[in-house]
Amino acid sequence: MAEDGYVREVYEASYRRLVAQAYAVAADRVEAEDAVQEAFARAVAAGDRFRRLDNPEAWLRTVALNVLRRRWRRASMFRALSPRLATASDVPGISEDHVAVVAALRSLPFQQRETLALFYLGDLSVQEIAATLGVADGTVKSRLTRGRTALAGLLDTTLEAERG
Amino acid sequence: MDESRLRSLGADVESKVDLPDFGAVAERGARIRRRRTAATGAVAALAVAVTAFTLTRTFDTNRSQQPIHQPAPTIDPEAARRVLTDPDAQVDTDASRVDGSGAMLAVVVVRDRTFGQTAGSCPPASQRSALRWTGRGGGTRAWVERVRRVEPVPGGFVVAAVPRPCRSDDPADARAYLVDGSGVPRGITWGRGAERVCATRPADVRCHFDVRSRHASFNAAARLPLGAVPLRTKAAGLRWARSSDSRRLYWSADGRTWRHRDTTLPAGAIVSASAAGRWGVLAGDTAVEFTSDGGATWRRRDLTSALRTVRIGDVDWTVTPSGLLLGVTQLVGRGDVLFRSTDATWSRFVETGVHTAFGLVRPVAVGGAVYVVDDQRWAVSTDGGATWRRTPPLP
Repeated sequence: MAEDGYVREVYEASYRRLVAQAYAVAADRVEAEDAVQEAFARAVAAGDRFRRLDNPEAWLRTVALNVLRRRWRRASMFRALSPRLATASDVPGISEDHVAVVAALRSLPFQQRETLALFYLGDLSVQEIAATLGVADGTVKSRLTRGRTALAGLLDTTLEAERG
Repeated sequence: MDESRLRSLGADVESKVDLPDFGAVAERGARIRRRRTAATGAVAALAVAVTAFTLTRTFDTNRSQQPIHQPAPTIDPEAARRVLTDPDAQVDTDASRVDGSGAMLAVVVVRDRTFGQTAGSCPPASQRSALRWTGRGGGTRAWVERVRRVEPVPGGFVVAAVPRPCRSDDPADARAYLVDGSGVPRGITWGRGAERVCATRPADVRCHFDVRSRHASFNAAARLPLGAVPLRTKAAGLRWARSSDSRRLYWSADGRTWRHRDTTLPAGAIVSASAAGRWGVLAGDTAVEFTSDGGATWRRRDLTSALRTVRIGDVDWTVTPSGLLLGVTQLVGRGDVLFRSTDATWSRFVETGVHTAFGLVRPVAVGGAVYVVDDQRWAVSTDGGATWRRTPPLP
């Protein structure tokens, strides 16, 4: 189908970039890849409406984030009851430093993680993140500040443990 | 933290992720399309059933519901003092609010020390929290309270009921209450149909609270335009809302019929949509489109020459009910800086002395007060930005 051809072009251009951003949010490769594939599947299902979008990658990012957010809420109780079973998977081959960063991200609240991912990996401005997440600019700024502070503390602790 | 570690994470992951076959994704999309087609018929039948149920329930509610009187919560100042003096206590600046008189209701939380251990969006049961009211004159009151939504209303605040999934067995969790102009919690008398919506969502456009008579009413016919975000201007009588990208302002006298104005600023420009009282503003960095008569007439003004006395970068604008303009701009080496017009002619702007390195956000105008939040505290002004007071620190 012609629409599928267009989605395929966007898929080849944007898939890896979107997975990287979703990975920073989910801190889990399998979850991230599945959410991004779900977003592309919905793009296929949307047909011609997807072709008419001004910024298809932003649309896909929003869909993937919504998928991750919904799964995160559903999985919260499972994680609380059985944290050992809920193990996350990393992207094979990335540097040890980045594995440590993702492990630290995993410890942050979900909202801080998605804000940090959109700002640092998605290169979105504060205003664009606010529009994507449907929150005020101030909320984005405060999540960024708190996220960075918490992340700095967690990474320092990790380094000390490795040294010690 | 070294931010480059976060930025380089993206490139590292991108280079290591395989691109799966698109055929599987396309097949998944086709399955979604088939499911949607099958679901359409079921949804139509369900819609008919839901409409019939809603009509029946509305009829029953209107017929049977009388005003409901609810008591005010019990205050335990000693327990509140223990929360406020805990070394780990923090003011949650996102949840706290300022009302139109400049009084502040702070949500104070003793955070769980372990990150990420909350279940869903509910705070853990072990988390302690309190509310601290600070009047314009400096008087304070505090009481232990679970984390609840706080909303300013004319003459005080509404403290919403605890969201349903987070409630305990305590019946007080299901009750909302008012905090009056002296910081005293008061019970609410609910009008017909009000409690069901307004107890948990007091900011809903259909809800109206009168602090003086301690009464809440519900206007079922009021609606926000689709996708609009309400602006906190209920006190003035005229309701305002903005589109999510801030390029359109909506206004309504009755909450049912809405008019709107789209900005004519260039498509790429960042626009601030702000409104208070009869004033509505759609503003770029130096060009402003505004109304001072509740949307009846709109004018455009170039502020370039008036802004010569202040340094600006990108500006977030806010208008007050008296027509003063306040702007927040980020300057290299100085962080976020707040400046204001000296009067409603906008012919001269001066800096306010309120600034932070990071986190100062756009001011909010509520009634006669305007406030701005940084990461830790508020600055509140009740004279259009000429003088500011900071929230008192925790004991």
